[in-house]
Amino acid sequence: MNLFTQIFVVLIVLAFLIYVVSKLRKEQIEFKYALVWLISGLIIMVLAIFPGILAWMGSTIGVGLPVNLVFFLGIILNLIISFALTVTYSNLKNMVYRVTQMTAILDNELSDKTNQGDEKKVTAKSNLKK
Amino acid sequence: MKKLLIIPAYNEADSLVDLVADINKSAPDYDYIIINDGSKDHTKEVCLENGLNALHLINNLGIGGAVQTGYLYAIRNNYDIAIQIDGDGQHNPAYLDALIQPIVEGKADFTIGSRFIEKEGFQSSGLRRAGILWLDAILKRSTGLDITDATSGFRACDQEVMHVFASYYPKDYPEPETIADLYRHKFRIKEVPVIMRERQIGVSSIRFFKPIYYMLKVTVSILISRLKRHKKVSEG
Repeated sequence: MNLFTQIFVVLIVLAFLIYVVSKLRKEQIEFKYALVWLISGLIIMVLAIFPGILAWMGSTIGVGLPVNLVFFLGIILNLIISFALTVTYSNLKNMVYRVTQMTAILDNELSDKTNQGDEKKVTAKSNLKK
Repeated sequence: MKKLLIIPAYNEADSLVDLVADINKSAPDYDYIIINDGSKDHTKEVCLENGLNALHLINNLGIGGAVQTGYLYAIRNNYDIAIQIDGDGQHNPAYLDALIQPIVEGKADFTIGSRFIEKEGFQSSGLRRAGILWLDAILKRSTGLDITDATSGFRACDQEVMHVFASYYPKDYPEPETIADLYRHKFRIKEVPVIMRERQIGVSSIRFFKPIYYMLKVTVSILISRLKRHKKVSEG
């Protein structure tokens, strides 16, 4: 990895981190979900600045080409994030279901109450006539 | 005893009025609630025009979410027994008393209307029959229960079961899995012979290209149900 590639990667990651922070600042992303992106961005940046770490890790684990280790770790990280998102999605789905159900029930009760109110008004009026 | 019929309906505008008339005639002591599962036809208008008691879901939740809404409604309105019955006319209200009898007598907490005990009436087509036999066998292996019609959507339950269903109800193809769930909660489950009609209008929720997913989902769910921990159901 030559100096140009290193600077290039660092700049991209930096831009990405700034973008995530701006999303956080505008409250468009939950901190809980931003954290994993911030941490992975920082890790990529450290590896780009010190490529020796990757080479050392590769030879220690027994991966011939350090780049294969990058691919491997990248795929693993992606799988973990997708799985976490599936869990989050399932929870959200349950919440949406309950909201939809309760909306329908409350709407039904509300129209019952409105109708009863009308009936009361009618009886009140007929009482007045007497 | 307050009894509620839960009628899930998705695009059943044409059959609901007849069904409610049928209920009022042959089962007048039962209340009913239609769950309009975000229908795309004029189900909602039909309900409003004819003054039918209905809950209109703003999203299409599928059969599980719709039926669960009925159980939530039953709990909120203090019903003693809730009966699930299809909106398409395949379940005959004439069998309601027979269906709830074991619950009324305190001999069961949950009953299933089975078309395969007396083997009369509409018996379903060959492949579907085979699927039901498979699910019956899976239930038998994992719970020991002798269920003949695991997929029947004609079912009745008492208040305690309503709370279980309100807290968890499978979203799609729910029937066989809920039997395993209730077994885990140690409820008494009984089947009652009924005669079903071929659905008059509408299509079965099990469509042509779904059977593989259906069988896989339900089989695995029944097995997973046995692995779940017995969790105390919160009241209300």
